Amino acid sequence: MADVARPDRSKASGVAGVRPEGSRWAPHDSQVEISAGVPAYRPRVSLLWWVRKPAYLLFVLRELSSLFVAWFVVVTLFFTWSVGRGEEQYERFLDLAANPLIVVVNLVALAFLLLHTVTWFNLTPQAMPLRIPRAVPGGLRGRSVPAVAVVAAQWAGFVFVSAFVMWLVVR
Amino acid sequence: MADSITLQVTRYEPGVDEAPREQSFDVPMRSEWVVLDGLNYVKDKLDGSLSYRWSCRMGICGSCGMVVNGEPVLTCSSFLVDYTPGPIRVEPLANFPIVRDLIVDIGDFMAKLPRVSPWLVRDDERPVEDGEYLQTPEELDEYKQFSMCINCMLCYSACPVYGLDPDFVGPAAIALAQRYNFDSRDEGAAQRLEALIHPDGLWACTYVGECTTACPKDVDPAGAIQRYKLTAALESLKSYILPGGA
Amino acid sequence: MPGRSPEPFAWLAFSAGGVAAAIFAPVLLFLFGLALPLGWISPDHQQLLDVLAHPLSRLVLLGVCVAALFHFAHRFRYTLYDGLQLARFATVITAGCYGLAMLGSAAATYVLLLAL
Repeated sequence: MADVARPDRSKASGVAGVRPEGSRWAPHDSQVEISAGVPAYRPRVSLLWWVRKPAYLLFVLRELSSLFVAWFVVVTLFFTWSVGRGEEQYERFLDLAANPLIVVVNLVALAFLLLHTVTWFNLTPQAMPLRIPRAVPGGLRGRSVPAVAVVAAQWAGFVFVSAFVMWLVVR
Repeated sequence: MADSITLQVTRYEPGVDEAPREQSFDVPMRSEWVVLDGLNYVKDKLDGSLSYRWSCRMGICGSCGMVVNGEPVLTCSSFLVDYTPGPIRVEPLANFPIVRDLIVDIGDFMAKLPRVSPWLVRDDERPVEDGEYLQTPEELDEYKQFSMCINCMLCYSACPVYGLDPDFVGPAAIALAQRYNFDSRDEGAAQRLEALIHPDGLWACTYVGECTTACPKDVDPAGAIQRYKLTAALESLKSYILPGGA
Repeated sequence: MPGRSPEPFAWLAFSAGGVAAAIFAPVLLFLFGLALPLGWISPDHQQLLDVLAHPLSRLVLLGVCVAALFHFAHRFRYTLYDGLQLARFATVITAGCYGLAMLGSAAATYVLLLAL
């Protein structure tokens, strides 16, 4: 490889010519391995790979919502236990939960839980497409149930369950 | 419209360069030109040593996939005018070893693809005299979308799991497995499942969904993989509840 | 016959938990974490006890909590693999995540079935 003649770039012409630039990749994160018979270059994946694209960032936030799902279970169990222990313990739970720090945590948690719900509902039509048989009359025969219908149905279920739970507590 | 636009192109000469570097070229701005036309201009007029893959220049061969301004695209289908005023970063596909300039080694995919038996598997091969395998339009609908894959590897470039886990089979391979699983003429679903049910097969996928976003042929590999997870999980359940094979 | 890996079952639990959390978690956290402590709604303690102690409530809450815990375990495990690139500690992470989920499930069983 060492004797390969380098092209004479100084004679290149064009609209504005050729300008050699500096390196984008730091040599230290290199991994040169023999691939296809030559020393090929394989960049390391940065720990912050997910901040580089909005889609990746949203994905990681969605995955982190799992922490707040666990938090929701903790809150629910602590609440249930407190109620079961009697009025005094329940009051202590309410006081603890009203602490501004806890309120902020719960607000953040609620936001992440809603992120989970939104992303989960949106992905369902793609993960479980429902095909309409060709025997069914209409323009959608042979196609999948439209995604918007599947998403709407899930939200209807969500609203129904939420309303029912609220009613159980408020009545 | 400006006269020219700058392409910032990755250069790497194996054995000479320690790491890839960037080189800028100014190419004419023409409304009908795509990034590939810009690269061809560079090679023809500015620097003949620039190396890259291309063939059909019409979005069907899958050769010209590169990362343009951070997104994996087919350079034959990416118009210069959509990137004005530039500069346009042109890098090789991510998650593959860079062999030279914009050329990557996709040997890993070529090794993984046969594992999913991407062909019609039959228990009994019917003789030619018996005639064709008949298929209704509904049966064609079931797998047609997944048959559109042109092996361009944009999905592998977009998939962060493939970048992090070199053993992951990857989106296109799984989508192609589904292309045959859903084909009414095929009888190889069990054997493909066997190949894909281990942790680096289906289960490494965390449904990022960028593979589907990147796919130029609307194959929707993410959807294919999620459907496969459900199938695989139900088959596993069945194999426990009904021992001796369902 | 599919290979004997627990991964498919982990994924099924993750999916069930994902559905349960998507539907139940927002309203329950809103109630227990915000509305009740901040006094936006003030049911008396006996009313809450009556609702919670009902066998159906206990079963549904138990199902939701256990499913949600295994959803968390599976998803967080992969977040550690991919987000923090800790896949080389797979055994410890797997044991830790599902272990936590099992502990939480035991706690849920105790609280919902025994302590009410």
